[in-house]
Amino acid sequence: MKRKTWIFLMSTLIIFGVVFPIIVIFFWAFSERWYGTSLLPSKWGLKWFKVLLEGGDLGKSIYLSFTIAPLVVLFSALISIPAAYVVGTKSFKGKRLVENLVLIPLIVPPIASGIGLLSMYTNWGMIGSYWGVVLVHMIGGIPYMFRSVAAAFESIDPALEEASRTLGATRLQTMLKVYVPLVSPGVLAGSIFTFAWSLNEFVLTLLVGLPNITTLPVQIFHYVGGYYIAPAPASALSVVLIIPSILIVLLMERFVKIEYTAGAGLK
Amino acid sequence: MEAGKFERLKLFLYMLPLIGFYSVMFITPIVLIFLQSLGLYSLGHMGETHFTLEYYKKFFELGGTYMHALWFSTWNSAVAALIIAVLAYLMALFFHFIEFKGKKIVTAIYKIPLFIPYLISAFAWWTLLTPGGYIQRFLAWLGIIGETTQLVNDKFGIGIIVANVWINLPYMVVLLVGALKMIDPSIIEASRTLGAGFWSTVKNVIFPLTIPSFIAGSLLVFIGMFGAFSVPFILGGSWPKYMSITIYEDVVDRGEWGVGSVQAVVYMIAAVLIAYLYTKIMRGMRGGGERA
Repeated sequence: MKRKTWIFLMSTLIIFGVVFPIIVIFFWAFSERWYGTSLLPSKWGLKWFKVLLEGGDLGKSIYLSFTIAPLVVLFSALISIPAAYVVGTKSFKGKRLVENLVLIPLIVPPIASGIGLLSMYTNWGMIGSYWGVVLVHMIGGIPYMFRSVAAAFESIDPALEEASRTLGATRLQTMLKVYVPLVSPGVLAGSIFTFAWSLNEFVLTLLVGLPNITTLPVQIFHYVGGYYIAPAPASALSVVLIIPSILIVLLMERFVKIEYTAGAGLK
Repeated sequence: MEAGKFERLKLFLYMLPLIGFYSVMFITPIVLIFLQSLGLYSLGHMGETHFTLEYYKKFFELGGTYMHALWFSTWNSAVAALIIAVLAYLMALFFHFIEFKGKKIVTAIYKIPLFIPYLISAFAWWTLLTPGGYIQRFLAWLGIIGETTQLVNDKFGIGIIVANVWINLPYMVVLLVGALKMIDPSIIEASRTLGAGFWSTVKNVIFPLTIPSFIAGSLLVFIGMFGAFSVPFILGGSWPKYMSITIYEDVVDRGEWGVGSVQAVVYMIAAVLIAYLYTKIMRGMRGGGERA
């Protein structure tokens, strides 16, 4: 009985600690009027979503965020998969070095490399360009994709390829029948992480994307980054971004061993 | 099997897109920043360039803005990392050793902060901790703090620590649960059979085995908070500031690329140092595993 009580307490504390700040965001998003002294909003409604929709901010940000992210996933996969194949299945000098170097872009603070990119983009005339933002999102997206896919390739028994070839399968058949099914979970895991990364990337987008590329985080920054913080519209935008984030967590739990990828040193 | 010259060229070609991408998008900006910090390149308007140490002198000026920023971002992130380490360890023990109904739901929920954009987490905590926010009001009602006590934008960075802990805690828990899973259960059983209680087993058997992951995880969490932008931007005060904020203000608001670059170089050195330590610790773990 005592054991049960403290398990219950611990679980409640964890759930409450995580959910409470998020619920407050929802309160703000659906509040039409909230006086300073009252515990809850005095009027609930969709006012802020309407305001944002009519101003065009919401639609534009959603469009940008949710078209950039899949492109980032696609191009990160195209760049990562060949390299991950080599690192995951072959042994060569400098292999560990490649694996470790790919982690560096995740560890270097984005603001540090970002000022160099800002200057380069200015010289190239790429400030505020859509594809420029896709490129900067890939800097942090590729490491996730690469690690997940390389781990998937590594876990394949080399004997399988041999067996397939010995039994008369062509190179292409081996690729499609052996590698594709075994590697696709890794690609899926990498895609989810990369998608989430792109959706949430903020610092580099702010530096090189302004004034045109106002993804959801940048749009939120407009409402909270100045001298005055406007909680209600910022919360409404946040809700639009939080819902897919929570869906991503559930997807991960369902399909991917998050412990595995995080243990590899990613975040 | 010795890889032939042709084979090696093929391997290189497979990795070429990756190498090419990072050469342009990552290594080039870093090299330019480094040159700019020494006055050998101009990131801003293309003025004349000559070697100078004046930006470094400005950075290392004792009692100046930048030393304060470096010190503040270091201790503030370190405190948060310490709190995370302790809480995460307790949570990891809880999730690893205790089976209960509904565990699946709790383990899914605790990871949510990992996927919430930093900016939103920071701003959520701002609404809670600002005077009149739920938590600030609750603490004032309990009499722990005064009614107008500032928990955000204050000089100790209390709000920054709280938000950073909330954001990074699940990451550390995930990492530690992974480390606990790697411990051979028979070792723990042996300790219990020999009469050790749970906490003494944790102290004498489990904790020593998880120290590498513990340190490696703390290092990664630390560098993430140390260089983060959103959290200190929203929750930080006007003095002292995180170095990420002073870089942004120097470069974007004032066009002071020189001293901005020096700060970026300091960040990069810290990052490379931590990456090095991290891979060393991880390699040590791998080596130990093979011997066992």
